[in-house]
Amino acid sequence: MFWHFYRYRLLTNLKQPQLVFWALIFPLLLAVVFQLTIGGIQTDKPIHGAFVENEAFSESSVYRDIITDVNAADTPLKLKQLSIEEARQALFKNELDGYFVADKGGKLELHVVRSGLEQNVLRSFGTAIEQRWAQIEDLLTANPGRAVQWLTAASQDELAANSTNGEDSETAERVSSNSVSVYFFSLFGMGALFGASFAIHEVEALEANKTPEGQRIRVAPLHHLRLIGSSFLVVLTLLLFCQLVQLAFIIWIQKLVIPLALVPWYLVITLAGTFASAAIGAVLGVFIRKPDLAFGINVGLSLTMSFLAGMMHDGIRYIINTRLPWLSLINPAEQMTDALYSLYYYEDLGRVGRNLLVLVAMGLVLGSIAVLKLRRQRYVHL
Amino acid sequence: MSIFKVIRRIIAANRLNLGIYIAIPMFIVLVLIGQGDPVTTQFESRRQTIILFNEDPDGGLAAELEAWLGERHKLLDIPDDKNRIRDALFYEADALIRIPAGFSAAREARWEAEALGQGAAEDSGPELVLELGKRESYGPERLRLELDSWLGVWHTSSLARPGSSFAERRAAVGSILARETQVQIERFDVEPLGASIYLYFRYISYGLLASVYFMLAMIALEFNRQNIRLRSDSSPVPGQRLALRILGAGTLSALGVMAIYAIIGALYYGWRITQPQGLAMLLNILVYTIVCITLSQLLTSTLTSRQSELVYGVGNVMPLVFSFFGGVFLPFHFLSEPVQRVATILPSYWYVNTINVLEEANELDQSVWSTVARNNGVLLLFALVFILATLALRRATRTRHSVRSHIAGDRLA
Repeated sequence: MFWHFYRYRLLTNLKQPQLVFWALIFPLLLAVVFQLTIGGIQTDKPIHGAFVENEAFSESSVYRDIITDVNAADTPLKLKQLSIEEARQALFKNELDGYFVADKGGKLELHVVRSGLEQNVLRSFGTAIEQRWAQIEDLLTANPGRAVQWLTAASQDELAANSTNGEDSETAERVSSNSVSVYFFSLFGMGALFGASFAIHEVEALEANKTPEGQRIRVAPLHHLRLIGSSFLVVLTLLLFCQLVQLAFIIWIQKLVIPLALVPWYLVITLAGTFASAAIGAVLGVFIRKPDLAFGINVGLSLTMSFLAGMMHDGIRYIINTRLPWLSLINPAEQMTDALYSLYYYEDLGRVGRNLLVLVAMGLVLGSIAVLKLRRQRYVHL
Repeated sequence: MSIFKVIRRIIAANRLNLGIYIAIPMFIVLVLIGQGDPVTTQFESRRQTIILFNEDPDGGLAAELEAWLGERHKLLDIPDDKNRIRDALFYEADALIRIPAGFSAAREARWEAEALGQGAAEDSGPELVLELGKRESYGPERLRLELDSWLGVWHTSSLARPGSSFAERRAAVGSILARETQVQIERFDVEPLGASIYLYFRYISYGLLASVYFMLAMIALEFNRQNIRLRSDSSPVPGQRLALRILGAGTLSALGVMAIYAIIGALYYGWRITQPQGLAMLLNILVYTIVCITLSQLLTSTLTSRQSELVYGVGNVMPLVFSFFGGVFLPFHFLSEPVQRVATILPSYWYVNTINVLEEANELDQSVWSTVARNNGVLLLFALVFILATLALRRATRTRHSVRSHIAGDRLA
């Protein structure tokens, strides 16, 4: 009877297009939208600067050399030389982020229209040139003998040997090449929460005072706890299926390279997220009498929790994590996103373990509340 | 007036659902605009966020570096914990700088040897560790440039003064580091409003479309219920007049939603909203609201009471698609070329384009206003197309309904 009930509940749920849409189609649709919009995101827009061709510029070949060297180097800075009218016009049209006007004393004046990061980079660049002039002057005045020696080696960067991109090279490569994957991970968390609708639907079907279906089920010759268990298993099966499809889709669409040894961890995260979401859905279904309202609240909650997990702006996730850590702790979407983020970018199993523990604890607590509320119900009148 | 009462009741009955769809976008909008920039009329040196670990607290050079970085940038005070550092470098910090123990002594000894012509030792001692963050490429690039320059200045000051005291070198370094490029902000004739107001107007398009659609969908679902339709059909009020009243009341309710957003914006931004750009954005949001209303009317015109699930689906997917493709959530130039081309068929693209033009304009000249007018014209065209499509759809539905009634009548006869 248990499996008979399981089978028919499974088929009933599969025939609910709105449930399948929210738990499976909607996250996949969003993943496609994300891929089309932020999937190939390229934030390295060059910073455009210029030197004005005035007397100081023409007298020294240094500025021309700087332009040539900077343009040849692998930096976001792109420089050119322009007349003052051309530079001003280009600045007006936002074709330039700023332009330098040099004077004969080696000083530079940067002309900009706004105060952004691009303009700050240009200013730091101009300052570095000015300070280089000052260094030469200082060295020539104080110790001319060493000046020649230093000038010949001056192109060498002081920091060249010591800067790294964080972590080991393989992880660094993974982070820098695919840092938008975290958006997709939050989407995965959202999918799990939307899947809680299956649980709401199941609770609705189990309660005799809500649907005729519930009345029929409650008179079936099966212990109530087994009914609940069977229903819960149906929800887990459906959610797990939806989650695995989503995970596979995200891995495929984002072209994530996952080491074979870590695949079981991804499955465990999926399972833990599924368990927690099913419990959330059950609690919503049990405590909110109107199923439509429960669905609406679930959609709203899922969107809010996904937003807090960084689905629309990845910085929000970090802000919440640092300023309101308790909110992150009780947010299942964040726990799933964090587990996938830690696993994919850093292969940090310790942190994944903590996330899993929270998800399972959440599932157990909420699941128990739902079961306690569902069991031993008596109806005076139906 | 009775129709307003009915609509008020519908809104009241669905207040929780509607509240969610007004409150959530509003909450998202308010959180996001919290990230915006204040108005600046002069150049402001932007502070990069740095995680600094000074493991050489007694070193003179290390102390100088720490003080210099603290003066120019924001030092993030986080524990030396692997997880916290990773998260900070991923989400917030531009770089991590670790000054190892013994760094100052080793550097000073090396430079002193160079200054005395003894050459650098093979083992030059512990080096600075710079780990670059992942947030923006410019920030880490700027830090690398500045740090390199700072080390270079100390290096040459040591070369210039062999055997000198640390205080002497420090004074020389101070005078060189004081040389900074002066910045001149060119003013064309636009009052800067700050980035946040533009963000606000961009983001509310998401909430506005979602809220208007849900509101009109709720109204349509109620009025399209079988029993309500039967009552409307038997009412002495002509059907067309009733439809117009419902449309008018729904439109006014939707405009009310827009007014809520506009009032919140006006309260939050004060005088900025009264500037020409602010007024142009108000006009833009009004026109966009008309598009939202007509689009929602089109999408809800044939809804039946059994399609409430469809409302949730469309109401969530449509605003997100419009926002992502229209350049609401991220700058339009980040999108790939084909996506940019496709985006032009969405009203949100034209709405956001107006905001972008106003934000980037250095002079509110003829070209800016003609672009604003063109974009609003395109939005009105969208509205016209949606109205015509709605009318055509309603006519087709009415004809089908009439044919079905005739057939049913014949059968009964």
